[in-house]
Amino acid sequence: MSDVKPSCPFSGAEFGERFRPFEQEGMFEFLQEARDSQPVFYNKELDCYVLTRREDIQAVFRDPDRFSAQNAQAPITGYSPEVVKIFQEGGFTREPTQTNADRPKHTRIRNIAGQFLNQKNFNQYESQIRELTQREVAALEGKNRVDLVEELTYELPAKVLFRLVGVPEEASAQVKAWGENRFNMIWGKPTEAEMREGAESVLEYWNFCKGIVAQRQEEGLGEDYVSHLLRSRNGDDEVLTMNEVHSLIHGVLLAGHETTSNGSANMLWAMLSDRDQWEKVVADPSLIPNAVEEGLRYMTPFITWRRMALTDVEIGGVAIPAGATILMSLVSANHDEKQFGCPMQFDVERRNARQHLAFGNGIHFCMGAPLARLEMKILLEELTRRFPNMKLAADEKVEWPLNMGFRGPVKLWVDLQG
Amino acid sequence: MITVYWVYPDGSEHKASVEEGVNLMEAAMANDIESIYGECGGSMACATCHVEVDESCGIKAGEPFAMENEMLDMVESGRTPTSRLSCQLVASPELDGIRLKVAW
Repeated sequence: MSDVKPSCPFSGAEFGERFRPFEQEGMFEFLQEARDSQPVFYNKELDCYVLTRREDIQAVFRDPDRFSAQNAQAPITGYSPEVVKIFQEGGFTREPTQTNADRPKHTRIRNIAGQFLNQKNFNQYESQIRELTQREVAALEGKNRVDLVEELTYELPAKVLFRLVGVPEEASAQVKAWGENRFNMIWGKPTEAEMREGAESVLEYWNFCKGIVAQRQEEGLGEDYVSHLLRSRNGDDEVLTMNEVHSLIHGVLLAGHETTSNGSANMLWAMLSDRDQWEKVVADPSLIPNAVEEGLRYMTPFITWRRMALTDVEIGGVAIPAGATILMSLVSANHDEKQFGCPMQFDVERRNARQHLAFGNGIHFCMGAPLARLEMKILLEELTRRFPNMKLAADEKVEWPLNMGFRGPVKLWVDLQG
Repeated sequence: MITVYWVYPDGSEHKASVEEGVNLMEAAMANDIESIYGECGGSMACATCHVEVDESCGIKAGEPFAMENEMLDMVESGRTPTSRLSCQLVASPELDGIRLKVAW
């Protein structure tokens, strides 16, 4: 880990007061200053120690003995007793299975999930993903000014995922709404009223997931992910319990598309913001896989991720007590000058773009990464081919959500014909 | 130090000295070997450090470990009889001169 000595004896607390984790404006400038002068600091608002250097973040990801994943999905603003009651009375028994599970449970479940969620299997869906993408892109023909988020990047990744999981495509709008609500409850800044309403919505979504599993049990197993889990379980709780199956479906039906939606919109925004980069890709589609990596690096769709220190540790000269929350700024790691020259430059030809930490690192490395890459590649291939003259709508301002985890444009207005 | 060769599909190769005890995924990353990404940091969770040991060099790397074995079944480029995850190969005198074919 980096050996920078803190300039402030109080763990950089004063510096940390200036951290605005929910806001996009000024984020890159602040993180650059942090990497330079106070790479590890304490933030009172979230009661966490923030890491900003790639080296430190990678080391934490790779050290599950000292850093637990159990807090990865804890609601950042906490739940009131009323909200907890709604969950309890509604039978919301979701349990940690993947991102917020530690070993040995995590290993047991990851091994089962990985037999389906892997690159080789994802590749079998390539023609279906291309067909779906072409259909959605073709629907834009004849239009000029469109919001690419609404028309394309918002629902498409959910429709793709549903093919794999075995969920009817018609449910995509509803699942997207449930997903947004869930993410706002965990990583956003909801009011108490929104939280209570949100809790009811989480319950509806939980019951929907249980329904999908029950339906598969009744109608017979197929080739989808739900069937894979049930087949692996084969009635044996030692392998996988039914509550774990429900929790896994609940997890994948959110994680499997929200990130790709934001990642896709981020990539398109970054590329269209620098016209030369867009034109380079239009002229040479072989640059697309690297452009996808650069998009993930430059505008990381999940900007922070959490760990909990299991023991007293020192990172970057700052003492962090056991039990403390560690907030890893993935977007900062991906702009670390030590790894990426001129990090604020979006460069589709950057040689080491894929060394970003957008999908994490270590034992929890994102299982959907190959799928997200495949979807983003196909999307960019189809869009550059059909609408090579596309431009950002100059008179529209890009808005970002108030969220300390998920980050992607709320709307992305473009002129398809240039 | 031992010598390791990474061989690309076009037959070109990259030769490097690797300190004993270092795993060959880390060594590949340090040498900028193309198509070796080591994204899970050596925890056998991603298979992006897959190599094929070229046994014609006379050096064998042995059988994969149980968990590695499962991951190898899922590699994109297809498994071969001498496929290994290079994060599980640790530089030692027995591997001096090993040739690793890089798949892409």
